[in-house]
Amino acid sequence: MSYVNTFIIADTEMSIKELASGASNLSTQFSIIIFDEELKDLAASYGAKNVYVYRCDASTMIEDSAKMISEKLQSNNADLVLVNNSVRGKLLAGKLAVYLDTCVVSGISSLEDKTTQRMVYGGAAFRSEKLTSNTAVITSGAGVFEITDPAVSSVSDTHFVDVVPSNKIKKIETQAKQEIVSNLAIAKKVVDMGRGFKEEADVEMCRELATLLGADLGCSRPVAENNGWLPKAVYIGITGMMLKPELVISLATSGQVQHMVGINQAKTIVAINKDENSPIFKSCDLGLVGDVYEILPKLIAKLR
Amino acid sequence: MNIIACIKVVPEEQDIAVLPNQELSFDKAQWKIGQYDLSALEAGKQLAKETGGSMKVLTIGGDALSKTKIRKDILSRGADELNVVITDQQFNDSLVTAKAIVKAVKTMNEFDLLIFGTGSSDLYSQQVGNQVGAIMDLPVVNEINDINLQEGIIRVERVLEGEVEVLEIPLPAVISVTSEINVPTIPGMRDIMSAGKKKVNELSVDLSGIAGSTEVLNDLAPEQKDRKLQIVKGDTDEMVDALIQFLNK
Ligand SMILES: Cc1cc2nc3c(=O)[nH]c(=O)nc-3n(C[C@H](O)[C@H](O)[C@H](O)COP(=O)(O)OP(=O)(O)OC[C@H]3O[C@@H](n4cnc5c(N)ncnc54)[C@H](O)[C@@H]3O)c2cc1C
Ligand SMILES: Nc1ncnc2c1ncn2[C@@H]1O[C@H](COP(=O)(O)O)[C@@H](O)[C@H]1O
Repeated sequence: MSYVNTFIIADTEMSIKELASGASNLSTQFSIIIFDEELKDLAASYGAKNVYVYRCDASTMIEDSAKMISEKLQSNNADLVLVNNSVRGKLLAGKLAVYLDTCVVSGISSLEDKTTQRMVYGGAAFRSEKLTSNTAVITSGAGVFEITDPAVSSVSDTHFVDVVPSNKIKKIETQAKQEIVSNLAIAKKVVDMGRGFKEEADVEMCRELATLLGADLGCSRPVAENNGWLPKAVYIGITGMMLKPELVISLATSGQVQHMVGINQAKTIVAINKDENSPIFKSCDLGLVGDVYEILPKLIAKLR
Repeated sequence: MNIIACIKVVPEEQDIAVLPNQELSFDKAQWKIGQYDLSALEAGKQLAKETGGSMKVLTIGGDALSKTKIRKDILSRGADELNVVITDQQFNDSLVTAKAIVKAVKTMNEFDLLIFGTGSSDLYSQQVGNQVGAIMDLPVVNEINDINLQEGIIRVERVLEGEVEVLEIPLPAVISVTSEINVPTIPGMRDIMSAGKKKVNELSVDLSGIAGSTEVLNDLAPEQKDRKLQIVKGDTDEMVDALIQFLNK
């Protein structure tokens, strides 16, 4: 065990599972801080010593709890703070680290023996570093720690804390985006849809291929960002998801570096592109030079 | 509105060489504005224009910042004035960078808004803006995708994983913007010409007292996966068969 007293800060169900699974291997004991009361039993089931629910009223950002959380961390001598690498998690981590006078190591790809690894220089390298402060503040996203089953029996103390807003930012409203159920981050197989497709209806073709292969569907940024055909949560690449699956089938993507760093760690890459000179053919295991509109219908028919 | 945009000048990724021992060499690297920070510059430029205000740019880094070319590039993107801190201090630690920026900002005039990019394109911690806001005890928000100016506040949209948040932020404030908030304009001839006439301040800021809390062990290029590079072209049926065979292996 590298750490003695870890605090997890988790804003989603998935991150509770991942970070708690990670912490149970890394730390003698751990506690979980959550913001959604409904997740308290899940948090407790992973064997957390304490579960803290920080509650905010509707017009307060949960990141406003950072000051209060930092006091909790200090009074408990936390030596590791593992935060979900979400937008909220990142802001929380940044503020907490200031109050604890340390840096944030964000978006790690691994944590072993107190050494973190993360990608730098747009994918050109992985940086290994060791934190020298009393408390390490680290953000970690999906796919870093393998999810294990909850502890068989465990007794957690649950505490409720009401957040007193510390600054004057007012939350006016939240607009729910389309519910996204995607296991892309931990999928073994991924179908990757690129901008070469002509219309939104083609998503169905890609989805069907994914279903037939037992794969999850992701895409390049323009498919989500410019075309809006798939949710932004499933685009792959440096500003999106970073994947490590067994297989990626990349369809009508050109192989730009910002996209490739998201799939480069895949064991096998298959690419279909009609342009023989497309850079994707320089980093695939199998490349088919052809039109997705000719290849996919036949492929799907054969797989059915 | 008085805006300060903080940007980082970074090595061009394409010029980074991988040495036989997997370490990186920056010997041949040109320096450029971090690609995400182009969006911060554009957002600042648009706001300054809308409000009849001004945008100053602050950047901290090494010798690369002495070059006229990079200075002009920054100034051609809507900055009214460039402030540079040149130092040989290493910035591996988000808090060290944040503290240095706070020190530098304090030597500049008052501001209403500090704008950051979503992340530096070399380290991409996505933290320096958050930490600057926390140090200065100002309202701070990350991942802002839309900004509307109102009396004494900005009303912003913030994109989270599963929702969009609409927030009212009192000024002065510290924000980071997404790389999708705008499409950065490519400077025109006139922008480039006028860039040469704009003011550059070399700030002298004492950074010696700032200690870091991380020790970098190494930066190593990832093991290149040996790809099989098997390319098939020609008949569609043959390609489909080749693919199915490949998948069944
Ligand atoms: C700051 C920044 C961050 C970015 N981050 C990301 C990121 O995280 N993820 C990401 O994906 N992108 C990112 N990008 C965008 C990236 O640079 C590329 O623009 C993008 O990845 C291209 O997507 P694509 O390959 O799907 O489309 P394109 O580059 O347009 O390629 C489409 C390909 O489809 C092929 N094609 C067309 N029709 C057919 C057909 N009928 N059959 C077969 N092939 C066909 C074409 O030959 C072409 O190669 C970022 C860009 C910037 C500036
Ligand atoms: N050395 C620097 N000088 C000025 N601004 C910086 C510097 N480093 C980072 N920034 C700003 O902080 C943002 C976040 O950086 P980072 O936390 O390193 O990803 C960048 O997008 C820049 O806007």
